[in-house]
Amino acid sequence: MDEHSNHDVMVDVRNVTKAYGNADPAIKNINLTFRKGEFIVLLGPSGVGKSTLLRCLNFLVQPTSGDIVIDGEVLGTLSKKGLLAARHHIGMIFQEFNLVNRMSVLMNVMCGRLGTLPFWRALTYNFSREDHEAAVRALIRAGLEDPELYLRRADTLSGGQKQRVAIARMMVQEPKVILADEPIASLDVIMRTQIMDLIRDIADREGLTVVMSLHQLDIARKYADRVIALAGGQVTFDGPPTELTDEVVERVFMKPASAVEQDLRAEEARAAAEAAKSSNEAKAGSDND
Amino acid sequence: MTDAVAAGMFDAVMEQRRVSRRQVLIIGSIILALGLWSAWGAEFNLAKLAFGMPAFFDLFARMMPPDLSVVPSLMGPMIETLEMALLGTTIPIFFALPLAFLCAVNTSPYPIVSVIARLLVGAFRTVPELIWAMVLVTAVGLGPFPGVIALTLHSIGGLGKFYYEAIESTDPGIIEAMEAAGASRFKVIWFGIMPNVLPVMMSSTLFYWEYNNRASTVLGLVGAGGIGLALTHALQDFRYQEVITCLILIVLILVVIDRLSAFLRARII
Repeated sequence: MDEHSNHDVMVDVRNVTKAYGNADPAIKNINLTFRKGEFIVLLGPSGVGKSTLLRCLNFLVQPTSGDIVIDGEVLGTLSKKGLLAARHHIGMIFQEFNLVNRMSVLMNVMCGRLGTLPFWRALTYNFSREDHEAAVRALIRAGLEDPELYLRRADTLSGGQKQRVAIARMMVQEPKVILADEPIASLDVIMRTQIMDLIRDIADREGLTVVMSLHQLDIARKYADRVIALAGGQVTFDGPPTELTDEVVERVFMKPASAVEQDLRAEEARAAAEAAKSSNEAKAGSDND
Repeated sequence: MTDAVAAGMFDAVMEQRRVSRRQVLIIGSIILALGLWSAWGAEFNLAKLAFGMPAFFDLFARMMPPDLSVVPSLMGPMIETLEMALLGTTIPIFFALPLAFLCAVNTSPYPIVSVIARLLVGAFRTVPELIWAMVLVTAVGLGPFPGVIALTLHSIGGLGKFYYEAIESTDPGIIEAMEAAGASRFKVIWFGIMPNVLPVMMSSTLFYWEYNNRASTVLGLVGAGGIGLALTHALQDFRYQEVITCLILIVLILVVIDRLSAFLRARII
């Protein structure tokens, strides 16, 4: 693919700075260009501004200065309504899945269509037949093929299933870009691979740009086309995962590569314990129903 | 561990013990002093209570036997009391809910709006419904209508607080996910927040219905209709056998409503 042909650009980050209050900016003068179909991982420990940069991309966090261009649309110049319409084509998934616990799986997925839902339909919680069909298609695409699940309350699902529902919710938006904020941090090791494979597969088949924040070095190495690391609010590394030498890793994580590996193993053990706990809770929850 | 270190730790433990004992002593003394001061101010006097006992038994004797013949004539006022409570609980929902969205920091359009709305809700709640009723009876005249308004005003304050606390307990991640999907403020509230608020809303509203049934029996005392008014009249005319019938009826109805409300609330959660 041609490195810098302009029609290929999906996301253009133009000199973006974000400061909260009077504190030092979380990110400073960031300039980045993401191409169509590119799988980008924002790598690094927490607190370096990954989450802020990710949220600037759909203006959930409004940059203090600079602008974002998504598929030719300059977000900073849009009206409130225009911004909502632009967000409809930017999917987002989260570490904690962010589903509405008390709603059914199907309703949660259809919430991805809120951006285009007419007011009177919203008022009466009345999604159209097309919305239902799109939701079922997306659920199947996300790997939830058992219709028995669709009408269950979201909080009766396991962590991996919840993230699949969140992915389905994002899919019904028919996104051009997928933003993913630590999407596997709350999952156990097996689930991590499954969810990463799923996201990578969706991105490849639909030709979508993915921007994902991660702190797991091994996952970034395995799935990313391009890794970007921030330090002190600025880009400190930008290149393919093959260039992630021990020296780079040390600079990104501010500790030796061996220590980073150790932390990963420890975190995986923690995540496994958490996942076992939450799946027990989910079971207990479904027993009560 | 050396003995010196152990001794040092022991001293630290003893010091800690001395400090916490002194705290208990100080707080206990303050509570005791306040209690004694209040008893003196309120002329608390057990002897006086003992002297009053014969009069109390005399009154009780004059209430016996209850005059059950008035029961049919009390049905109207009793139903009026229940109606007052029902209206006084359902009308405020329509005011408390919008106010709650203005109060809650995660849905209020501006922080200053939240502050003002909270002051308003707090003011409604702080004024007891009996005082609202007294004022309203003076303004719009006797009868159940001022009673309904009195219950409504107080309940707006009570329900509003329950509602906005439920709104604020909504997971901010859910709101963020809805906003990221391009949902407007209204849609975020309707799909992201309402499902979380609804169960709390139902159970706190039932709680207030129960409370308003009790409150509405008292409102008659200031002329705001219902069984309370019948009770006041009977008391003023020294018809004690009728008074006891009113009291029995009130207790029976309230017990039934308490049970019903508890049953319904258990079903929700």
